[in-house]
Amino acid sequence: MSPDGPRNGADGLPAVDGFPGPPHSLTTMLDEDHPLANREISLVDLLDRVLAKGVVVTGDLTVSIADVDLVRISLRALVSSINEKVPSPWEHGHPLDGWIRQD
Amino acid sequence: MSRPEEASYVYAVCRPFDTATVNGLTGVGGHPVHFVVDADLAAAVSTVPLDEFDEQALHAKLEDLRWLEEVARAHHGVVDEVAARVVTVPLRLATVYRGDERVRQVLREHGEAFDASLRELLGRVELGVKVYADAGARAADPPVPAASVGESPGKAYLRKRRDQRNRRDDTWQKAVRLCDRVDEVLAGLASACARHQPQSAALSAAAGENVMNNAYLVDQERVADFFAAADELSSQAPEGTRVEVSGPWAPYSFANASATGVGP
Repeated sequence: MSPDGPRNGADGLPAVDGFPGPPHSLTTMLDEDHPLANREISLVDLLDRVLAKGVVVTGDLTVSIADVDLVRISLRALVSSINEKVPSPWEHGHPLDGWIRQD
Repeated sequence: MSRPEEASYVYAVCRPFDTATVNGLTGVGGHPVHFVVDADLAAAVSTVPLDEFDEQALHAKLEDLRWLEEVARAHHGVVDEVAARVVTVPLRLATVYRGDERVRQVLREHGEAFDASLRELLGRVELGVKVYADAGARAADPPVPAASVGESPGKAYLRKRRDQRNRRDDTWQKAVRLCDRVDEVLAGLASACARHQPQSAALSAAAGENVMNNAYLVDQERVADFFAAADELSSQAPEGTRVEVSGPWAPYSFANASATGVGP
């Protein structure tokens, strides 16, 4: 399989012609006035993906971020930092439960 | 002369492409990004000081939210830039090797799995869809009927609680039906769906309870249709519920789809 060059439309991505400029991110696929365009990604959505998803290949420095305990520790920090600022008004709030994946 | 030991932080695996288009791209700790290429595969890599990412350091730093956010945003920034240009498999945060030669070796070892993933993900992006139910907001809305004559404060209290509970149950039922409808419509526009655990209310800091947290793998030509359908569903969402879409994302939730040979 040949490498997908940036001008190779076969991958369905916008062609990069150098001008008016290459795409900076996937959200540039959206119209500028789309509500999601240029919106900062929420930390929890981000962590939901970078900590809990993505291919896990065992690294050499075997710390495994996939290790639930480690993730739990960092999430505890996250929860307490959020709770300091915004006390949770939700009756059903259950910090950590439901966020930690068992996979 | 002791130079700090170095390691290779890998963000993602992609097809080789014209990396001149990402000149100057930096990742974690502001370290520049380069690409390690082996045959049809390339890895987006930063050379980082080993002691920032060894086991000990990570144990300590993962508890530091500011550090975690910085690294998460930097990691995502690189993944996103690369994915905007070429089909990309994002790796989990903090996948670190002892040097680029090891990265090349990993590309070779897992070549088939990466290749299969990249084929499947070609021309597709991930869209996140969450449904929230906010029974509390709704429960406050309807006027409370006046206490009937002779009703004791205790009874009035219990009745109020029961009414609240009924409204909450009603909101939950509406939310469940909305989730089914949303999933039915949007899955029809997607080539794959990943159903994730809802985010906890405390973490998401959003109003209401997250009751559905799905990711859909969508062909790029159908992204506009997908958004239109999601907007429509959102505008029809019953009182006390709402639909939120995020993305397009690099295919974080689908990176393992074919990569059965890759895993812990």
